[in-house]
This record gives sequence, C-alpha cells and structure tokens, in this order.
Amino acid sequence: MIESQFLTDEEFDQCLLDANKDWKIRISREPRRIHYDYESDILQLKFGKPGFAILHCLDGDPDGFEWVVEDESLHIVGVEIFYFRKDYAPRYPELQAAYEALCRDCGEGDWFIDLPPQSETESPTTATEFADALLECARDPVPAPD
Amino acid sequence: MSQSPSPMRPHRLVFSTQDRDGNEVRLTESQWIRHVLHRHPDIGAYLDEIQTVIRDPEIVRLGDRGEIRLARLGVIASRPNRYLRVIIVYSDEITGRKLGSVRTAHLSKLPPGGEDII
Repeated sequence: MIESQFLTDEEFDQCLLDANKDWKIRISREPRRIHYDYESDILQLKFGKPGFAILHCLDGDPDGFEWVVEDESLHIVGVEIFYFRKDYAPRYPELQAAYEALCRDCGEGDWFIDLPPQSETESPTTATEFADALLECARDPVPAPD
Repeated sequence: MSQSPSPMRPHRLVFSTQDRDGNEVRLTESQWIRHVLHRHPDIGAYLDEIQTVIRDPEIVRLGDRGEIRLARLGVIASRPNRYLRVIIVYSDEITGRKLGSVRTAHLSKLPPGGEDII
C-alpha cells in the first residue's frame, strides 16, 4: 500500500507512474465496464472492481479526461471523460466512429456494458472496439523508457 | 444492455439543500444512482459531506459548459488530503431563482479546473 495522502503533487505523480509500469498488461486481464451517462455526457471505462478511487488528471491530459486511480495502490483502474459526446470524441475520428457504431448497436442513451477482459476477447464487438479505441486515444500515463 | 440495472423512483429526493447563495440544490434518487453511485460507489456513504460542499464550498469554479464545480479539501475525514468535488447544473426557474441539480461527485487530489467565481 502506498501512503499517498500527504504526498506533494510531484511525489504523487511519480508514485503513480511507478505503480503503473505494467498497467496495460494488468488491465488487459481485468473485466471491463463501460458506463455512459447520456444526460451528463460523462463516460467511464473501469477495469476490475476497484476499491476507494479518486480521479486524477496528469499534466498534459486533455481537458475533461481523468484517470480513475485506486487511492491506496495508486493503480489505474479506469478513465472518466466529461463532455464525451460533445467535446472529447469529436477530437478523435477513430473514437468518434467507434462511438457511432456502438450507438447504432445499443441506441443513444445510458449504457452499462460489461465486457470480458481484453486478453479473453475472442471476437471483437462494437463495444470492445469502442473500449479499445478509447484507450488508444488516451495519453499513455507511463512514458516509454528511453 | 442499454437499460439501467437498478430500479429507481426518479423524482424522489435524496436531499434538498441550499447553496451558499441560497439557491435550492436537489439530488434525486435517479441522479444519485445514475450520476453518482454507478461511477463512484465508494462515496455512497458520504451524502452529508456532499451537502456540506454544496452549502459551504472552499472552491467555486465555472466549467466550460456552464456547470458549477464545487470542492472542499478534507471534508471526508478518512481522506484528509483529498478534495470532494461536486458538479452542479443550474436551471432558471419561472420564479427567477435558480434550481440546481447534482450531476456527479467524486474525490480527487486536485481541485477542479475552471474559472474562479467569487
């Protein structure tokens, strides 16, 4: 457990990076849930069943984009995006296309879509493609080693 | 797949309180379940603290789409170094007073972005 309550912003960001060096592998093994709140236009993609979580915006993340971070392990356990439909998705053509495809399948409105882990997905669906497109558009929180 | 999994009475009030300017702010059962609990179940036990932020925020900022972003540091005792952030959307009533509805509430290490409102 990381005692993150009283870290400075810089220390916190460094601990976050240290705790998430393997984040792509870790989340690929977790079941996923897409939650879209149409009225508030807030989209969340979560991995596994996180404990007490906070939202955290890393320097350089686009407006409206925040990581969902488990507050004790500092593991990234999801992403949350404000004004997804109105602002965020239109900035990324592939994500916008995946969103529109999912709208055709599920209809516009609130979504609660449970997905298997990425590592166990045998044949892609519009929902898994949407989740993958969402992560592709996200800035990698952990810089690649030089 | 696109339906809410939780039965609810959408217009039943979870609470009604006043913001710092005396405007009514409501949280309905629908808003509580759909907008808050489904995304942030860990703050489900902190309804009183959410009302405290609405009544007496430390930070009040205007978001890009006209929403009001409130925050207060350390209002949840077990997380003294975290901001409880509450986002409210106001609508103008016929009476001229504003009526606010809570859109989401969550914890963060940082205060919300936006333009300060004095």
